[in-house]
Amino acid sequence: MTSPLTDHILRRLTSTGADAHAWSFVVLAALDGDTALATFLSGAGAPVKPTPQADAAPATNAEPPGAFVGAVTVSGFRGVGPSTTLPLTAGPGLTLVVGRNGSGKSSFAEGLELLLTGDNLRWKGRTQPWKLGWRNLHQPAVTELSAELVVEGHGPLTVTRSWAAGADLPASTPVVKVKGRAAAPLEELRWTQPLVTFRPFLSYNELASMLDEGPSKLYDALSTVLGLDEFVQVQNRLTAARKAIDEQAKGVKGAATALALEAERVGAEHGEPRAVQLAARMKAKTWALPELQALSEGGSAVTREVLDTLRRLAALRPPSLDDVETAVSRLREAARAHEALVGTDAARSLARARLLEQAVAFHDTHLAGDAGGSARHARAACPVCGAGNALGPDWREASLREVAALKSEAAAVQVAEAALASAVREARALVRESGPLPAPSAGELPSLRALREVEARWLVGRTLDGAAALAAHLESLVVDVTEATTRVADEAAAELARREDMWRPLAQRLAEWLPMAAQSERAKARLADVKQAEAWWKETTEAIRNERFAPIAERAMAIWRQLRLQSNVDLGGVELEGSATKRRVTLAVTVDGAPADALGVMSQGELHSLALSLFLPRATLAESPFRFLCVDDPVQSMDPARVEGLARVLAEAANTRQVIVFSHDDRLPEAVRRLGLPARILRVTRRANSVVEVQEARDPVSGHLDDARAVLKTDDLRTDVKARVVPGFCRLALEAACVTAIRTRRLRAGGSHDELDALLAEHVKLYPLMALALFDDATRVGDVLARLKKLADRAPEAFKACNAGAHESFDGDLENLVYDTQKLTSAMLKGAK
Amino acid sequence: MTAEPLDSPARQLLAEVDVLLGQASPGTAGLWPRAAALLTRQALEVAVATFWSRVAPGVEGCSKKAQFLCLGRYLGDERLAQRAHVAWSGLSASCHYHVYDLAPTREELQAWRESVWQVVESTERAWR
Repeated sequence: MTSPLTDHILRRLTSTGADAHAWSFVVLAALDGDTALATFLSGAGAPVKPTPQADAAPATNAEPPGAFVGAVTVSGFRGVGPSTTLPLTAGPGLTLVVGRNGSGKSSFAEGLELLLTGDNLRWKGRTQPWKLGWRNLHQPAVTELSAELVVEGHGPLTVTRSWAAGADLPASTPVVKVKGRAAAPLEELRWTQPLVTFRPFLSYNELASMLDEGPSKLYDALSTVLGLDEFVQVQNRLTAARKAIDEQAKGVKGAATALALEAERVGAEHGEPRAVQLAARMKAKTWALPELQALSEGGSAVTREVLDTLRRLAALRPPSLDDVETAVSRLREAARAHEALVGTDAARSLARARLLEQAVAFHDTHLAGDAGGSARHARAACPVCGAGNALGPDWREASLREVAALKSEAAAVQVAEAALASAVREARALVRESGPLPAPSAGELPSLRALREVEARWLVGRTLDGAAALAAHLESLVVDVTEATTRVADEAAAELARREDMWRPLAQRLAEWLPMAAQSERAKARLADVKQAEAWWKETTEAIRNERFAPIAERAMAIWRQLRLQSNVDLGGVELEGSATKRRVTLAVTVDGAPADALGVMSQGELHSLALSLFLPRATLAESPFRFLCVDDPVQSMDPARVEGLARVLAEAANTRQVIVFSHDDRLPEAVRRLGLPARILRVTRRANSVVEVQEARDPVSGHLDDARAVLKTDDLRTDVKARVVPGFCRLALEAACVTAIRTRRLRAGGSHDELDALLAEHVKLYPLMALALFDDATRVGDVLARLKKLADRAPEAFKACNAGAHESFDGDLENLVYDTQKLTSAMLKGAK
Repeated sequence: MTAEPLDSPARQLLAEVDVLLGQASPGTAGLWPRAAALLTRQALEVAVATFWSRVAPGVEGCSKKAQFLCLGRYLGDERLAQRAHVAWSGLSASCHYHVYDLAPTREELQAWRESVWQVVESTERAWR
């Protein structure tokens, strides 16, 4: 399974051939998440290159089911006391909610926003007293906001948020109710993120601050809709990985330096060769990790020689005293046994025995037969000396006896000699070197010299002749040798232990350092790839961002062109640039064709129009689940010409969206009416005790006539009061008709709004106003009544009654007056149209 | 104290204004601000005209501006005369059609009504 983003990136990598590079694997690992990237960089596993899903379509801008607002009901909130409903039409179209500041109109806008978002941008950063004043003073007990919403394909639903008496602003839980179903939490609509991303609430304050808060804030606000969060996440992941590699390398380097210093100290103070070697290796430009590994595991060849010698010396064992004693007593015994036979000559005896045996053998072979029959007693002459009658049987027998005696005598001597020889051999065998002792050197073990000396004497025993001398040699030296040997062995063991104690901490640190270093080295090997991946990602993100932002920029510029009208400030382009701390929005602004800084050259009204141009497209994107858009007081600081542009822009947006505009004056409704744009206008007024009234408003002429008729009809006013009020409303209607006629004519003839407003400000009295309306000439007041007579029956009388009646009670027929005024106004406007 | 001042036309008109401003009624929904403005202005004009007719007959025929300029002298209270003029201008603006203006708010009307009430009190004290 691959995500749409992964698919998208794979396609980009493949189509540019970038997937052949090793760094593309870093990109893929980064796409997979923090763990995947860390695993890949530690070299523990190569990421498996995912293949794009064959059927994966590129991310479509599918429109989610859209929500429209049917009504907003507010009670006990801000300017609204008793529950008041703002009736809206749940569908595309323009609704203007008009009311003076403090009329409660903004309470509906803020209420809807607070209801859905749980917050209100305008509330952020406000003072505490302001925040505490969210409850209506006249109705502090019950605060409730609710809105009827119609979601395409889901039907109507109601969102409600209410506060118990005394509850804090954040202490409310919004619920959603759909007919026939249990209430559910608002989160179920999954609007939390879209409310931020597509923010369907545009208020004057917010728009004004958007441009003031700096290019990076503006960037964030505009780029949320582009769905770049994931890109930024991956970017951050890659950056973090690169920094982690650098950090790790720095850490490893620092640890190496510290270890080298310590090793150097130990080496210098204690002459520990492993420490000396460790220091050298740690200070080297590149670490020889295998050698360091060997060092940590038990030292290298060089250091081993010294330690091995120590180990060997520690293992030295003196000759066994028992053995030496045994050898000495055996030597002495054998010597004594040998001594006892001194004087007897075994060789002579043996030679004689052999000679006699040979003589007997000669006798038996050659002489016995010569004696004849009497051989048994006959004696032959000696073949050696020639003495006759020497060899005979008796001689023979005596000789054989002699041979046996001689042989036994010789054997005893042989045994004693053999025993002595063996005793000497064994004794000598005990005189051994303790091993190849190291050559004398400075700082060697203190007892080594003594051992060398005593051993030299001891070894003389090997060449000593004479068992007694040997025994004496052994006896005299064995204790010295034993003592010297034991001393050296003990000293060597102690030295070994001392060195181990010094080395062990270093070895431990080395052992801890080695895997870190190995990992760092492996990661460093990938650093170039990470950097490459990072650069590619940044470039790609910017490309995708620009692709996605292009249509929004296009719309923003189109809106600006409609809003700017006579302004000499032109917006040539809107671009998102840079990233991270350098992210910004660049506005290509020109003044009369010359490039300029937007914030520097634009008036407050122009800046506001610009902000609206930038944020209206965001709020009306197809991907937004909100088909409504609340614009709070967009006409502040706008001149009449720009208001006209705004009316067109809003009406255009209202073709596909429900555009609800809150306005504190009548400029926008006036423009909408004059331009003949379809719109519903609601008028909000606030009476005593925060009773807020919402009324459908018609054009001003009809509106004032309606008011006049309503006065006539109601029982809430006394008749004499009616007689004082009705002519006033009729005059308002007449004036409105005059102004409408004048405006229509003048604007159609190419006049400017400013000239027109100046003209109207100059002529407030009814006669010149009517003269302007009838003749486009304020001076022709004398012709007014005559012309009126031609326009409608009783028109001059109605006109005069209106003029006078606004100041005093009217004693004529009120119903006729209203009727005549209406006839007159429609005749006037018919002419004007 | 006679009954006359209570029943003066100006006071009667202000009483009607108080009704309009004080309580909501469906019959006057939406139209009450202009109605109140018309009645308050008439109360002011009646009070001032009555004052001139009693104190300096003929001045009531002058322009409104001139009347308010003189009023301070005659009442010995320039501040009040200024307040009266401001209220009258505001009320007049509300009683005439201005293309971008909406009806006055309750708070504006309340303030004008206070000014007018002061004028009524002061002028009536002068000729009573």
